[in-house]
Amino acid sequence: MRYDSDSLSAALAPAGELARDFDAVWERIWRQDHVPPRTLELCRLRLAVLHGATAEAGRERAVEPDPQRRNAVRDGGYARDARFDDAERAALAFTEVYAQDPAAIDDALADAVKRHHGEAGLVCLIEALGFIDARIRLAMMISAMTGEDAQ
Amino acid sequence: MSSSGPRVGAPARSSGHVMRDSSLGLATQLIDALVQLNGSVWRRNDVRPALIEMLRLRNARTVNCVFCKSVRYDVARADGLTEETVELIDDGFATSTLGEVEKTVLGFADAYLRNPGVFAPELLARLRAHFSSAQICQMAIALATFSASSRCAVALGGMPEALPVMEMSLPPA
Repeated sequence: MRYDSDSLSAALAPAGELARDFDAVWERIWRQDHVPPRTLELCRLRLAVLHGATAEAGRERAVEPDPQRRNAVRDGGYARDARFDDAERAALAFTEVYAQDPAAIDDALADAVKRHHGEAGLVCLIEALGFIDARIRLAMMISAMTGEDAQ
Repeated sequence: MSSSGPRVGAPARSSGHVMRDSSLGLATQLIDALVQLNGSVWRRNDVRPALIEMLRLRNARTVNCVFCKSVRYDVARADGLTEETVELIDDGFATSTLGEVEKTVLGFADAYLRNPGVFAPELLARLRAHFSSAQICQMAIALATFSASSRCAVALGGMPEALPVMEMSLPPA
């Protein structure tokens, strides 16, 4: 089976209570209001593309209903697309650098996120990116372990 | 590093809990679940603490989180993890004097950290020879949690150039 960040839960179920605690963080990320879940969904799609995780990038969550916006994130055209607001662009710009190297994030990128979402929003975005990244990696790895082409 | 200081502050009120009193505590709607998970990777895990600590340190060194690299959990030391062994958790681990189980655990970490879309059949066979399905899933979750945490610490800025090794107890559940 080819897993993604959501279907991964079934693969990790043998871990028992630890798997439930891992999933609880995932569920909280999508229900908090420090950063709009719709923005996080755009970041998830962008991270998937940057990982080369095609199964993940192809997964569509209802929180982002606009297929043109999803495609603009997938092909990188969002930066010049009027369908995205400044807060979304700031989060996506942060995501681009986070994916390559968190140490390369500079104060300007962080300040742009804080302008829209405050300090709590920046912390939440960074935590969310950490677990999105982690679940994409795990889904790719477990797919590979079960003999599927993860990419 | 691209910042001279931390990019966010900390909660105004101290709780005495190391995670809740850090910047992470600002995200009030996530912190409870994060505290629970960070305890569970040690407490709800059937894998020896020394091996979990090796996963954590391999991740810390790969992500280059100075805070994470400096910490040694007391439960891992009590389980027999020495500084001599910790020194071997570098890029040459595969040809080091580490045992077969330790090399398998570190190979698992590297698969996740470096190229998760490819998993060598030989590594998978060794993993299955030494660990149950439940343990493999528990190590995967521990590694993912450590990775998210260390990348978070780096992204929040204010990372010092170096820190001395310091022993820590698990935070209260």
